[in-house]
Amino acid sequence: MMPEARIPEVIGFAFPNDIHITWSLMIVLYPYLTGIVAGAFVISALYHLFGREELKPIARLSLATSFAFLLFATLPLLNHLGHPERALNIIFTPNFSSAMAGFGILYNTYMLILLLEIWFVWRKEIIMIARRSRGLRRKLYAAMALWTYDVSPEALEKDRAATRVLAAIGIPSACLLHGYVGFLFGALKANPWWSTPLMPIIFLTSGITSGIAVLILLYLISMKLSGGEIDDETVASLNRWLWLFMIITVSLELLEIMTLAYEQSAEWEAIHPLLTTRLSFSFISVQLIIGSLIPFILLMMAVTMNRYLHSKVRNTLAFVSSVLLLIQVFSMRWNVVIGGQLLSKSYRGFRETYYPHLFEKEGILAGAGIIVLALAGLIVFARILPVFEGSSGLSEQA
Amino acid sequence: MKVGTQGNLTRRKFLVFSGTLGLTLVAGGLSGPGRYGAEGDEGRVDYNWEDHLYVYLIDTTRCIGCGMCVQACKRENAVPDGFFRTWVERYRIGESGRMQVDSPNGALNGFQPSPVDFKVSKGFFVPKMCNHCQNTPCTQVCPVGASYTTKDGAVLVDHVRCIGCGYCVQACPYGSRFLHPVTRVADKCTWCYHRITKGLRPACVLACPVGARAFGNLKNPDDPVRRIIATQRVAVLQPELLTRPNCYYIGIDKEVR
Amino acid sequence: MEHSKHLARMLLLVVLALIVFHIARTLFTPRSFGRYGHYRADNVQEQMALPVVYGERNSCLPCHGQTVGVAGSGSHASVECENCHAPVVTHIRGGEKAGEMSRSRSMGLCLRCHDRLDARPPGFPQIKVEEHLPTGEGKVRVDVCFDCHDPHTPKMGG
Repeated sequence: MMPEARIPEVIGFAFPNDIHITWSLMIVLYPYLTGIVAGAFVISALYHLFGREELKPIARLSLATSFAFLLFATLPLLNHLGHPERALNIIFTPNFSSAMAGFGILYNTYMLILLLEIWFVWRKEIIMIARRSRGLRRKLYAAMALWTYDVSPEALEKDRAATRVLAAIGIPSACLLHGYVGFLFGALKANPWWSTPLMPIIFLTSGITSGIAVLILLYLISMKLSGGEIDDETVASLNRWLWLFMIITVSLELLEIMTLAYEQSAEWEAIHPLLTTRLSFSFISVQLIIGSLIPFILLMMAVTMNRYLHSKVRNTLAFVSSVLLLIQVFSMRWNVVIGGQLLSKSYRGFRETYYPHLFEKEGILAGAGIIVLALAGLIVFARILPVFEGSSGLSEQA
Repeated sequence: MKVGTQGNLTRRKFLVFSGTLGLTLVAGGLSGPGRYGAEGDEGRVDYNWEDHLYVYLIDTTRCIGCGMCVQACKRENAVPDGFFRTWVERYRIGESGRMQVDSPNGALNGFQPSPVDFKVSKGFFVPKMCNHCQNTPCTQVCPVGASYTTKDGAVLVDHVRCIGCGYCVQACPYGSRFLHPVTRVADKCTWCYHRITKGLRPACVLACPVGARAFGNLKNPDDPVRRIIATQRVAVLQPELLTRPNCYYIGIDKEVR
Repeated sequence: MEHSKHLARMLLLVVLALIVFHIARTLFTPRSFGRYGHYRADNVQEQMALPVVYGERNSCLPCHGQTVGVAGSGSHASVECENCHAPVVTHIRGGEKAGEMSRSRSMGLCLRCHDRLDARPPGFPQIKVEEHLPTGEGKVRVDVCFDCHDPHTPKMGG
C-alpha cells in the first residue's frame, strides 16, 4: 500500500485509479531474493548432483546462502500486504487459479527440501559437534541430530544418496519457486509490459545469474577476511556459469523488446515511450549498458583468456562483473515491476517515476534492512554449522 | 521391522502412530472446508439470487458529463478521495485529428470547457466502472478467494478475507480496482449490491439525469435493458481480452479502450 | 533397514509437521467457506446488509409531497432530488430529523449540467452564461439563475 503525500503528475491520460502504484520497492525486492535463492541452489546442485568437483569449495556456502535468503524472502511480502495478519489465508484457502496462491505450496515445499538437504549434508558435523560439546550446546546439537548418532559409512552413504535425491527434486522446486513469480507477471493480460510467455524464463535465468554473482562475492570476501585460499578453478568455473546465464538472460530480455517493436501492436505504442522517457535511465543506462554490456565484456575476457590470467586479475574481473550484474538484475526487477505500473492501462499516459523514500514503511531503509537481515542470517548459520572446510577444526566434509 | 522384544515395541509404536495419523486425517477431512457445492441455509428472506442475472447498459450518446453519478457513488459507498469506483472520461477529437482524453478528478465535479484554440470536431463522454465480467481476470488471480462472483452476476470483494496483496488491481484491464487507503483491502464498484438486492437501483443509475445509465435483470423477460441488448447494436470494452463484460455500451468510438 | 534410524526419525518429523498444518488449516478456515464457490459465503449477506444512503424520490415524498409533485411533472423530472440536495440520511435518519437538508443557489450547480461543452450531445439544453443573460447586467451574482428559473420546474414558458 502506497499512500502518497501528493497527487503524482501524469503525462497524457491515465485511468483515475491507475495513478496509484500498488506494488512498491518490496515487490521489486522479493523476486530479487528468491532469484538468489534459486541461483545459489542450482550451484550447489551442480556439485551435489552433477559432481562438478571444482565447485566443492562453495557447495556448502551455496546451500547456506539459499537457506538464509529463503528465510527472509517473505519479509518484503509481509511488509507490503495490506493485512499481513491474514497472510496465512494463502496457505489455508489457496485459490489455485492464482499464481500467487502457488506461493504457499512452492515456498513451503522448497523450504522442506532445502532443510532436509542441509540436514543430510551437515549431519555428520552436527553429531561430531554434539559429541565434543557440553551442556546446552550439546543438547541443542543433539536435538538437531534428532538424537541419533550413527556416522557409520553405510549411514553416510545413505545420507549422500538422500542428498542426491533432494538435489534432484530441489532443482525443479527452486526453479518453480522463482519461476512462478515470472508467471505471475507474464500471464497477466491486463499489463502489456508484463504479459509475455518469456517472463518466467527471464526471471529464472536472471535469478540464477544473481545467485551466482552473490556466491562469487561471498566466496571472495569471506576468503579475503578469513585469510583462506581462493581456489582458482572454482572462480574460473563460476565465471563461466555466470557468463552463460547472463548471456541467456540479456538475450531473452532483448528478444522480448525486439518482438514487441517489430510487431508494432497497440502495446508497443505504450511501451516505446515508457522505455525512452520514464525508464530511459534505469533501463538503457543501468540495465543494458552498465549492467549488461560491461560485465559481458569483462566476463568474456575472464573466460576466454582464463588460462593466461593471474589469480588477482581473474578474481577482480569476477568481483566487478558480479557487482555490476547484481545491479543489472535489480534494475531488471525494478523496470519490470515499477515500469509496468508507471504505464496506464489506458495506453495513453504514464505517471511520473516512483521514488521510494528513505524512511517510509516500504522504503529504502526497509529494503536494505531485509538484505542485511539475510546476510546476518547467513553469518549466524555459518557460526552454527561450518560452511567452509576446516573452519570448525573438523577434518572432512561430506 | 526387527523381531524380538525390541521389535515388538517398534511395531506397536508404528501401529499407534499410523492409527492416530489416519484418524486425524479423516477427522480433518470431514470438518473444515472442502464441501463445495453443498447448499446451506441462508436466512436470506426476501431475495433469491437464482431469479436474477444483472446487467448494466451505458448509452454514451446521452451522457452529458455532469459527474452526478460519480458524486452519488462516492456518497453512497464512502469512496475515499483520489480513488474511484466509477468515473467519466471525455474524448475530444480536434479538426486536425488531435485526440485528447481527460477525466479531471474522475469527473467528480463535472468538466470544464475546452480552451479557445482547441476546435473540437467530435466529442463525447464515456462513463466507466467495474464491468463485472463473466470471465473475470480479477477473481482468477485472487490468491485467497476473497474476490468472487455471486450467482446473480455481481463481482464482489470480501473485505474480511482480502489480504491486500493488490494482484487483482494489477489484473483488471479496465483500471476499475484500487487498494483502499484506510481499510487496506481491494475495493471496487459493487453495483451497489446492498441496494439492488433490496429492489433499489445502484446510486449511479439513480443519479443520472439523462438516462445514460441503466440497470437490468436478464432473467426478467420484460426487462427493457435486456430488450435493448437483444435487439440493438451494443459494444463492450476491450473485447479482444475475452473478459466478457456485463456492462454494455451504446455509441462508443474506436478510440475508447 | 540397517542404519536407517535417522531417516525414519526425519520422516516422522515431516509427517508430524504435515499433521499440525492440517489441523491449523481446519481450525482457521471459516465455516461458510466453500459453500457456493471458493469464497466465504457469509460475505454475501454482509454485502447485502451495508447501509443504504440514497433514499430515492419516495423517501422525500412523505414530508415534501407538493415539491416532489411539482418536480416530477416538470422538465427536471428525471433529476433526482438528492443530486442537487444531499442524500436523505443527512436529513432524516431512523424516522428522526438528523440535520438540515443542503440547498445550493449557486450558478455552479446549474452550470455543472447546463454549461455548453463541445462534448455534450447537441440536443441537450446548454448555455454560455454571457450569451444567456440579458446584456448590460454588469457583475453577475452567483444565484442569478434563480432570478428567472424555478429549479424544480426550470423550463421557461410552460
